[in-house]
Amino acid sequence: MKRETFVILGIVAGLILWLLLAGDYAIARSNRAMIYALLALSFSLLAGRLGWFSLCQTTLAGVSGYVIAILGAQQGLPYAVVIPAAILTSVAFAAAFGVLTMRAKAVSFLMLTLALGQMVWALSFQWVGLTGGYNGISGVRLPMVLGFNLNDPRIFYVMLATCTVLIFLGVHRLYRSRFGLLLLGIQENEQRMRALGHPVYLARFTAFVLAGAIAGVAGVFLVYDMGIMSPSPLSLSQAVLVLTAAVLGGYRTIWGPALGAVILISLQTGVAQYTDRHMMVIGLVLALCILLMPRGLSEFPWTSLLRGRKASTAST
Amino acid sequence: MNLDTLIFLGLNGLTLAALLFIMASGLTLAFGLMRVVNLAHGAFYLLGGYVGVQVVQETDSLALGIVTGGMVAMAGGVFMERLLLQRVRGLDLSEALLTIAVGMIIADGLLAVYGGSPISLPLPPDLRLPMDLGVMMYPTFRVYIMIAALALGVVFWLVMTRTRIGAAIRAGVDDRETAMSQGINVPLLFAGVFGAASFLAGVAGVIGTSYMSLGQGLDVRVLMLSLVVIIIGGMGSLKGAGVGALITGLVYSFASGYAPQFALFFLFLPMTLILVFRPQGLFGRTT
Repeated sequence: MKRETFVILGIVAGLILWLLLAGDYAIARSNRAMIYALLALSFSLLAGRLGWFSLCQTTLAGVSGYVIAILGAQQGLPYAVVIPAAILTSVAFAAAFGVLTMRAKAVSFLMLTLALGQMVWALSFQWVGLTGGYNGISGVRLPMVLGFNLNDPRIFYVMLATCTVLIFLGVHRLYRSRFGLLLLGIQENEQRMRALGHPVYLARFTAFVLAGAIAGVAGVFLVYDMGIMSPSPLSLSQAVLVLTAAVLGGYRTIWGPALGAVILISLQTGVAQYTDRHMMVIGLVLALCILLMPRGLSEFPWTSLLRGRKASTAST
Repeated sequence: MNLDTLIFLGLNGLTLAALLFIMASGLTLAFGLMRVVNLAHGAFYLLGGYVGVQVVQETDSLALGIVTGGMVAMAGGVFMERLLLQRVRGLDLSEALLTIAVGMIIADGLLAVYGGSPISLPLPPDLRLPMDLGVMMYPTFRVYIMIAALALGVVFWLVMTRTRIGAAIRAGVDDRETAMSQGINVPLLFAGVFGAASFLAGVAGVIGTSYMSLGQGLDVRVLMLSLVVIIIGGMGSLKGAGVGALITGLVYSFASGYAPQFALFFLFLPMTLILVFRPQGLFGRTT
């Protein structure tokens, strides 16, 4: 068997073991961590492959959450309609944002996605008739299927873990495919890729929409996990939380976003017992990461540190 | 539609445009000079606002409050630039991300110190009274805000076109390397511009509190509006900041008056049109 198969089996075994050993609260937090891992993956797909740091991936997830809350909880449409509609809405928003940001470079992309994302956030609490404003829309629940209550944290964990593993595997394949290499090439030297005849804009746009679809899936899980949809998941602090998770774990590797999300959610859970200032902690973590290890934990030069050599300074 | 409402909304739009110009002018200059976009600008607005309003409340002196608010924000800006941004100089994205982190820390710290309830600016009675503008009565202090923004625009224009510092800044914006080889100390110039920009953000925080009350989340809203201004106007252009502020302020004010639920959507419209047809902004240059 290949090494890759072993790693996948190991991860699946670990996830099952955790389900059997952990308490209810730990499982609930793990669910949240997996959702943020998906969001961080959506962010990293753009940051690691294209050098595009997006502050609107949580917005795309939030849009999908609102569709679930409005069509599902308020209008009572069937789940088979609501969930695809939610993901499609995220994809549509991603396509629109993608067109607007297509020509932007690193820093202007960051600014644009911030402005676009915060506009949707502001709309979500100004448009009270549709979104319920600050109070949001409550009572977002999954159904009973074959006698299983899908809202039970452990059953939810199984569904979420399955999706998360599959999506991470898919993105892993994507990174190694021709398309993934093309994205890296575009980040490296856009002009050369264009001269070689590659459709640069189309490739970027596709990556943006794909990342939007992942965010949409994360949004579906997020809204069912919270049971209520309010503007807070669309706020800038959530976008920064996701960005910090990806930067902490290392957005250029496949497992970096998951690692970062797990560490950050654990940290948040731990800090919440002592203080309300968790955003300050997130800000500190982000600042320290950028100053000390801009490529994150997964690409930190551990080995050269052990040998006592000066860690080579990496660039973002 | 009645005419009085129209004029009132127009004047409100001009007040907002004045505040946005004070915010965005520094932001856009710093960007033009060093390609650094300060995403903690909104947090500096909040910092200057809270501290300045507290000084006004305790000393009853508006001028002292405005200066203190500006100075505190400037101290924050200079500290951030000297202690943090310098370490990652040249890495545009790292600098932007660091400013986000600093903004988060400041905003959360202010929430801890001042609490979440909205605060407004206690104005002296003669500034609170409305002033007769010929067409209608309008709060005196808002008229002064507009005059201040105009004056700031004139000062900026004079400094940029008539002084050696202005010439050095223009040279740095145009071509950083050549300017440096001519003996212009661009990093020092940048620290100065950055400090001045933060000062203006703090001042805007104090005087803006007469227009929008200080509260949780205001930093992000103000930052978003400032970003829209410089995206519309073109990054690095002072003229662009002025025109962008006018468009943003007026559109936002009229939209809030006639379709409050979609105020931001209407703001989104001019920005989208400009991004599609002129991605570098109205007065921006393609690089």
